[in-house]
Amino acid sequence: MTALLDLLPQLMKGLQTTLLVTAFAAPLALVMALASGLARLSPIKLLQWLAVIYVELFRGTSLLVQLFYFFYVMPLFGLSLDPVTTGVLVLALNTGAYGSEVVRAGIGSVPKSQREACIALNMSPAMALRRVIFPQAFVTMLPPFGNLLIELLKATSLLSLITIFDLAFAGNTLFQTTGRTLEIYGLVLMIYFATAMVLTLGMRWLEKRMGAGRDLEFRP
Amino acid sequence: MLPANIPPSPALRLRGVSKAFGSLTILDKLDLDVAPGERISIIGRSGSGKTTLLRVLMTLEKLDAGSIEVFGRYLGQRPEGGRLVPATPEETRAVRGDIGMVFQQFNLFPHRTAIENVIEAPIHVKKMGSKEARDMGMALLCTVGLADKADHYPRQLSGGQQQRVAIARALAMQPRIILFDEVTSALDPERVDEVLSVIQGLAQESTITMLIVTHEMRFARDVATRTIFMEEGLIVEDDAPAVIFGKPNKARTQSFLQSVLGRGL
Ligand SMILES: Nc1ncnc2c1ncn2[C@@H]1O[C@H](COP(=O)(O)OP(=O)(O)O)[C@@H](O)[C@H]1O
Ligand SMILES: [Mg+2]
Repeated sequence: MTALLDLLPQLMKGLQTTLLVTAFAAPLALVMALASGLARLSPIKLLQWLAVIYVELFRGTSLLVQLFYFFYVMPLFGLSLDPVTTGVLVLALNTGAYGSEVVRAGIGSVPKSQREACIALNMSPAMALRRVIFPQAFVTMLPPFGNLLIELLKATSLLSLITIFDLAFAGNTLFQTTGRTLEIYGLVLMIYFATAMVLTLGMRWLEKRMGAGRDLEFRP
Repeated sequence: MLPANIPPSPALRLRGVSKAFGSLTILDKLDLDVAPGERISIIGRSGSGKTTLLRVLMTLEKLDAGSIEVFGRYLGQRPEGGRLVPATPEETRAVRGDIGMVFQQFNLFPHRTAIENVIEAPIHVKKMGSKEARDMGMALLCTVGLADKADHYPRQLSGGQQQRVAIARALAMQPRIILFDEVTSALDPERVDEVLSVIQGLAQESTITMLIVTHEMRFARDVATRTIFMEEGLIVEDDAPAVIFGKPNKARTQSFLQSVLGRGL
């Protein structure tokens, strides 16, 4: 038992980085998802195209290659960022591209009749989107956003490959110095799982809170 | 003061209004004039184009040809060099504000309570103060008999109650013309009367112009000052309700009424 506890400080240090990267990448990914998802629905063709190019580029290539590209190739063009910034940026762009589809599907899931009700109340398209369509769509986006958040958390483990001391990196280092495969990877597994669990519960709570008026019982 | 010899502009003036879906003609060069304060019930078989007529008036469908004037202003179009060209969205909105609509399926905003549904557009479109809007909204909910349900979400209301909220919501924008599209068709039979009597009350107490598409024939006769029978995208007969429901002049009107009424109202 004491042996296990010896491993924890290192792993916790790694976890800290994992959480930090997730915490910065997630809101950035959300912004990218919303911006590109809405851009794809915009009447302005140029915005549509920019969004399509961004989404297809990041969905069509592997995250690992994107990380390597930003970390090793971009400096050749004069853009060199520190590893953590690179990690946050690439993870956000990658997750945002998937989130873009979630946003598009969410907006599309709101019945056309809601838009028509807005027209009958003489709202502008922008106001209808902001006040009526988006709030309803957002509730349906939350579960897939939750999935993406967990994906993001797990994807941070790739950052160890661009020299970032995250939870996976910490595990590997400990393994190399102590050779205690079973305990180390068992612990790493459990810590990832527990973190994912906390995030899942948080998303559930958010879904409940945002779902006002939706799941209420029918009682005339 | 306007000189007395200039007639007031009609609430609606439709000229050659046409709409097709693919090769199917739904509205066939329709002409229609509606005077302010008229209440027109529109009857006809399912598929005859009644909903489409209301939808083009609400700008939910684009015209293929023809023009619509609302109190003397073109809707969705603007005269330019002797022709009509598409209007800007702002111009369209300026004219569209005169028209409100109540839908068959209510289309309330599910994420907003009854009162929020009613005051949403007055506050955000008309920039009414929220206190003033709330007072007006509560008064309207009172009129439709739902003051006690103000803080209920649509899901918590029966169909009839939802439809009455929808009527209050449309009225809150103070339209000069209101369109009703089969507003009781989605309701349980025992919920129909509560909605019809709200509309009857409105007819009695206001001078708002109404176009009412309905399958409730007795209501179509009693609420209206004028009745239109439509078939295949055409206005077949347009007369006083007493004539249409008493002694229609067209054989097609007669045969329709016979098929829906059987032995009478
Ligand atoms: N968006 C649409 N696309 C294709 N056909 C449509 C559309 N809307 C209505 N129609 C067709 O137009 C015809 C008239 O419809 P509608 O105006 O709803 O008639 P009514 O309200 O009198 O029953 C129907 O045959 C219907 O199927
Ligand atoms: Mg219809």
